[in-house]
Amino acid sequence: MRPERLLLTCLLLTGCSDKIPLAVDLGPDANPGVTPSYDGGVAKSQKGNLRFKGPERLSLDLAAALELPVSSVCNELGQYPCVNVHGVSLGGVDPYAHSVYETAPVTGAAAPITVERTVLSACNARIAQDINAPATAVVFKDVALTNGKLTDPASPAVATALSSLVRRAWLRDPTQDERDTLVQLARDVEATGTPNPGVAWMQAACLAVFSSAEAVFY
Amino acid sequence: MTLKHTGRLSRREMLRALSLCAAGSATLGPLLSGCRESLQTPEALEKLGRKRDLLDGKPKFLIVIGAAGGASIVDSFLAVRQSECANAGALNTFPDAQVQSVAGSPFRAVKYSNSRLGSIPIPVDTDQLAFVKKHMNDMLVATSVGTSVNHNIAQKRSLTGNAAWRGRTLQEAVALQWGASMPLPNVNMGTGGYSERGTDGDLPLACFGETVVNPSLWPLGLDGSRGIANAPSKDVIALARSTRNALDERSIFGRTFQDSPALKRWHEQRSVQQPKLEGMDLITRLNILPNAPPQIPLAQYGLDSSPDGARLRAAFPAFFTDPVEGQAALAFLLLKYRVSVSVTLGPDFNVAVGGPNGIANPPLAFDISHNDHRGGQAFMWARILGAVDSLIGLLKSEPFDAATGESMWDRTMIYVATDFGRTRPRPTHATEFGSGHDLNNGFLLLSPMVKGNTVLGGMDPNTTLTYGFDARTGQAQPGKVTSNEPDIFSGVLTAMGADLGGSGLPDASAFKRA
Repeated sequence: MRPERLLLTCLLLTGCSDKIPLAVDLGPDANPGVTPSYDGGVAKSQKGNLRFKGPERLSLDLAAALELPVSSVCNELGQYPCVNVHGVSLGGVDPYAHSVYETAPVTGAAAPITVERTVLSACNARIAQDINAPATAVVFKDVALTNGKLTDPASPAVATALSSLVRRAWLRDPTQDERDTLVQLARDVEATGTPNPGVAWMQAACLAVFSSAEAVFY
Repeated sequence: MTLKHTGRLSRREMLRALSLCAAGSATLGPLLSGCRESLQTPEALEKLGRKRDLLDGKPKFLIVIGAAGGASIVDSFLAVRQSECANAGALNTFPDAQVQSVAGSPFRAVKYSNSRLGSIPIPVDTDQLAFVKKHMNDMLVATSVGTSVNHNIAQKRSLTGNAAWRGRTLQEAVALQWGASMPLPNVNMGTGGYSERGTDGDLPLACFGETVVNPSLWPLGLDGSRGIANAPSKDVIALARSTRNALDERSIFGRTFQDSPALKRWHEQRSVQQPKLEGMDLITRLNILPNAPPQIPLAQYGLDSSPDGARLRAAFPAFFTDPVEGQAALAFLLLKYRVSVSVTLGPDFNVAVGGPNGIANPPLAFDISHNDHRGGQAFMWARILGAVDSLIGLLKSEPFDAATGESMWDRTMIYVATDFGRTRPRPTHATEFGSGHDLNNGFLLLSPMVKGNTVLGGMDPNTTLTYGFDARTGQAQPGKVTSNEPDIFSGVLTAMGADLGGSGLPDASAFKRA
């Protein structure tokens, strides 16, 4: 074979993956409540063209997902809406008050922090309602606490709550691995010796899921 | 070739030769003139014996004040008296008594009084004399001719020198030079073109400005959980973050978009910048607000005011209602706590309600000059100079290095950038009139690093137009009215002692204190 043909053939062969990317089945038949694990054959996006949600979409998505009024998602010092206070840090505009007419082309340094503040505030609001009014709980339904701790992290109620949390944030079911990771979080939180580890775990799980890249980019 | 046989060129060969000559001259011409110009760069001049500042590893600081709307130098430090102008009634000259001189200084100071500001019924009563007397030894005015009378474009060009150094802004150049160790080297609270990033895409991302619009409340966004009611402990937050990061890394989404620039940046911000910002306790240190329930219930949310809060509130009493005062207070804290090396602030075009007369900022800032030139300029210059005066006072009182005795002020440059100047004609002898945009103007720089008490260039009193200067020698050049944006850009950086090697910027040694 001529050398240039050999080189071309090698290049073509190295450019081909040995695995075909698999579609993930989200259908109800396969182990309801859990997305089947994938085998690592996910195709990387070539364009990687992600968009950050920005202040309004982030707040509205949190309000919808956690079934909260938009006005109670996040307020600094209990009265200044985060969507206003941190709107520009979150890539938004502020044309009338501060003459910011265009969105930022990239996320700012403070954006990850303000995302966490917004998410944590919304999670706290949801969890407080779920704890204080169990009959109308939305996410953490029937999650039993004993002396402030989760009675049984492996209980079906915890699994259901985690599936609910993930569906609300990522619009899909968790994989078994993801669910296990969030259950393990409960044990880790308890090991810190924090008071009320059950509620602290709910806050931590909610923060972890809703501030994840999958929840704030689209 | 025909030449070989006949000693003559064919027509085709003649055309080919001519086209090669044309291409050669087009290519080599700029190259040769570029070589000639390169002899004037700081790098080349250094080879000829000029000394460069030692880069001692300690930061220097730049405060840019964007005087939006067009701060006119002939309504401040280069004002012209009626008695000096052959055409005084038709141009923007002042009654002699309103233009005050200071002994031993080239600067002038305007005193202005009126019962209204254009159609706004608030008194304007200002006097620039005290400021000039106090700060003249750290003041330099460089005359200028810009290249745009469009606000946004002119604002940006005042920061890039019209793309003098690959399109980077002064703030980005300073962030690159001295801000490597800072979590937010370049914070921008400016408006319009003053808040835009430059066009040098090769700079590290951290050099580009972090936009801040609400200086009083923005520090609340510098910690992920403090100040949030019923937030879990930091240990729990840390566990939540590590769990989230693990989920992100393993998820289909994370793997699919692992090469996304947005996601890479996001991960870096979360893992590198966020810990830096939270570790410096900036939610406290930068917090100008007092504990004042019910409007500001800091204590109820487990927060404290900055240790510098009280003196900043004394220096900038209207910090919560007047954006410029709030920005100036935050600017000081950002520099003091080594969060930033470059901070940009300034009024925007919106009305701000507040202050002793009810209006802290008139509509359009300096551009209210369309409606009332003199009143607008006087009111706005007073705003700018007031903020500058307070900032200098704070910076002077803040030690930088106990070993050398330097204060923060010794290492700070304040550059009052502005869009452009204002047109000079007025209805005959009118004292209330409107003005348009004019390329001719001047810039104010303040710093112990500039050649103080100096005007670079000059003023033709008969036209009230400024003329230029040689940026290397400082020699005035009457009649020179050509654009000099790169000179101003280079002058700011030269005075600060930035390393301009390879920049191709003009030598602007005249700006620098000997």
